[in-house]
Amino acid sequence: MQLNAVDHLDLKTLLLGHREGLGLVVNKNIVKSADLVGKTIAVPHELSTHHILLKKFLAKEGLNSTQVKIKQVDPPDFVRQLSKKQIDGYFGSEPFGSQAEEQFIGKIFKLSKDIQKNHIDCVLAIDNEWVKNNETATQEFVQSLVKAGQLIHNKPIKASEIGAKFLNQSQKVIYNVLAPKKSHLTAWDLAPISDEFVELQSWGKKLHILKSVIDIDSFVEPKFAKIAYTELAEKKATKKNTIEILKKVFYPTASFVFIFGLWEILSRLGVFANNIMPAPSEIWVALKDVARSGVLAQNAWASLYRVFAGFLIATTLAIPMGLIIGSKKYLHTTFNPLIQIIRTISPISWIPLAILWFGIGNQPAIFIIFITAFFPILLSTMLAVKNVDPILIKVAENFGATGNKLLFKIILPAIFPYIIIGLRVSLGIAWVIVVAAEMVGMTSGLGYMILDARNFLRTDLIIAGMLVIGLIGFALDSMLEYFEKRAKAAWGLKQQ
Amino acid sequence: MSLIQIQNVNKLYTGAIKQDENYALDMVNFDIKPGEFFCVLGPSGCGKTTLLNIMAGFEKPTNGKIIINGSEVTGPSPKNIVVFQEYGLFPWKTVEKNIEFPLNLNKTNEETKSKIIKEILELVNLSDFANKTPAELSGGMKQRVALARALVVQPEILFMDEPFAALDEMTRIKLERELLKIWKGRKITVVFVTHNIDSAITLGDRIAVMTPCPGKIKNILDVNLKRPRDITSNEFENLKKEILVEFDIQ
Repeated sequence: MQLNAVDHLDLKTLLLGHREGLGLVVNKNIVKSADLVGKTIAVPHELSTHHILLKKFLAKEGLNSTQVKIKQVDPPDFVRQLSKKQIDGYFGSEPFGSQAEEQFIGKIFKLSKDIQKNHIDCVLAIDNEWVKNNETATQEFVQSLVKAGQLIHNKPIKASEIGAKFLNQSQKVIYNVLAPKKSHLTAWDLAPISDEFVELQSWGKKLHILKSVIDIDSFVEPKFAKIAYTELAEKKATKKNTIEILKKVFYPTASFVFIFGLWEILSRLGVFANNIMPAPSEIWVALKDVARSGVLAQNAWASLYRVFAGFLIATTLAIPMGLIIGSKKYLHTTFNPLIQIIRTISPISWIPLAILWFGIGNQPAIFIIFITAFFPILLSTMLAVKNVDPILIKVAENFGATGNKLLFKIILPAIFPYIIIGLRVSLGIAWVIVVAAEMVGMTSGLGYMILDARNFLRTDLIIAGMLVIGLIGFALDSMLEYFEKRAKAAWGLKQQ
Repeated sequence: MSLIQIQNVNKLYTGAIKQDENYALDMVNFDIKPGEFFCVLGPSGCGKTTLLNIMAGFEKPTNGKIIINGSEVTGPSPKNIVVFQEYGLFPWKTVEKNIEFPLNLNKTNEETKSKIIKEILELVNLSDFANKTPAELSGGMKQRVALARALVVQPEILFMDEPFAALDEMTRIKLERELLKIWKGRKITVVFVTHNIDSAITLGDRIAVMTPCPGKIKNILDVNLKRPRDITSNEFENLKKEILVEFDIQ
């Protein structure tokens, strides 16, 4: 890179070509820095990065510019001149270093990355006028170069294969330049940073290579690179996301495939007696039959209806009651023992009474679900009210909120996520209980369907019914889990 | 002349057995002048928070009384707002809605409301965070919101219960400076409870030194240092030594 060349041109540096990737190549007789005294070293240009880095290296090794002769040579001529001993070494860009090594003409004495880590070298500079008139094309061009840099970084073998076609070098030489770990140059971060240019320029001045300096800020235009790298990062993030989602779907699916597959194989091998434990394929046939005839939908709907009705009544009563009992200490003391005793009575044991009170039909089932759902909701609401952060209540009272305002503006929203948790728990239990209730006193519903199947010794249908119960239960829970997560996030509560 | 009078205040806490009885506060007497920045300084468990809760009307004294502006305190009032260490922000409300809450209670009209909120957000440097929820804010920002919410009702007294104790040192110093600016600008009376000696000296016109078991005011010191106070100055160090002696340290 020749900084001073831009004096009379309006050029913009849009991207780096690479970082690092230069090196001091010398003949076999030179083994230590002191051997360089009196020798001739070639550089591509007097005003090049190579020259600056070479001088920096020599200065560090305690050699001054009079002790080493520096000569300007065209890079393609480096290896030939070295082999003919016209020069003793050269400070050049890859692949000329690796090429000399491969042909046993010279050896890499010092890599530029060991002189200055991550230094800049070649750049993509384009006429500013042209860039202004072709912003889209420029962006596309920069983007494709950034992509190429990523390819070099991530897949050096592939990159060297492509490079060999264009660079008139063997793939091995190019691969040596790009190979991970010992890589001589890097291409994963090509964004031009003004400060790095300023630093390089000041070194050039310090080492008496550059006579004047230019305004770097008008020379470097990082915006195209910035856009390209931002897009790259976004793409990587989406790709990672997609993989995460696929994993979430794939792993559970694998577990199903494994269990049902094993079951199917064992059934076919005759390990299970067919009339006791039918194979999944037979259950699938039975499931399709009841689904097609409408029996399944009818019974599933009957069960869901009972659960929703009972659950709704329980929610409407339990939340306000929980709010009132929970917010008054004496009410809590009064009612808590009674609630604790009734809630331990299995909802199933209410079935005889329910049938006596409500007769046959939906009402007794809805009543049973009501009993089932009521107590968990009531108790979780009571507990949540008791546990509302006292500071929040103090703050509200301080501003003059009392009575209903305190209850509805502060306490109710404060406990909202906990209410959702209570609802989720009670809906889960309600779905378990409804099946049991339907087996005892009902003539419809999924529980009844299973019982009825037993009367005909249809084990396939029994298991089909059980699977449907499981699936619907899972769907109900997932629904409330979603609400729970949303509420917790909105309330700033931690997810478990 | 006095804005707050604390008269013979005792607070007795009774445990499960008679022997567990102890005085959180024992015969506390002092006055606070209007516009004063009054610090109550003491170690944990010395009863300073109990005293503040009694002054703010959240607790009742066992004996004695608090008189503010000539009338006895019987409960909390929007004229005297408490700012808590734990911020007390409503987590389901955004910054703006948190600040709006007291204005809704006293039925401020919409136009005035949005004007007040805008001003106060600028005052505490949170204009860009109006629509964030408390969970998205740092501790220092949360306390700024709490302070803003307290200020919108234009209280006469600001009771502050170790408001910056949960914050890092740098944030604390910054917020203390902002608080002093607000106190000067709004001419409110601040009662500031803290266990941090530097805070008390930086902020207070006077410092009440409290000692525990039973909770007592040991001494009330005047801070005759010019503001802004330099915590590295000799005068500051001397006062700090004086306070340490009060606590029987050194």
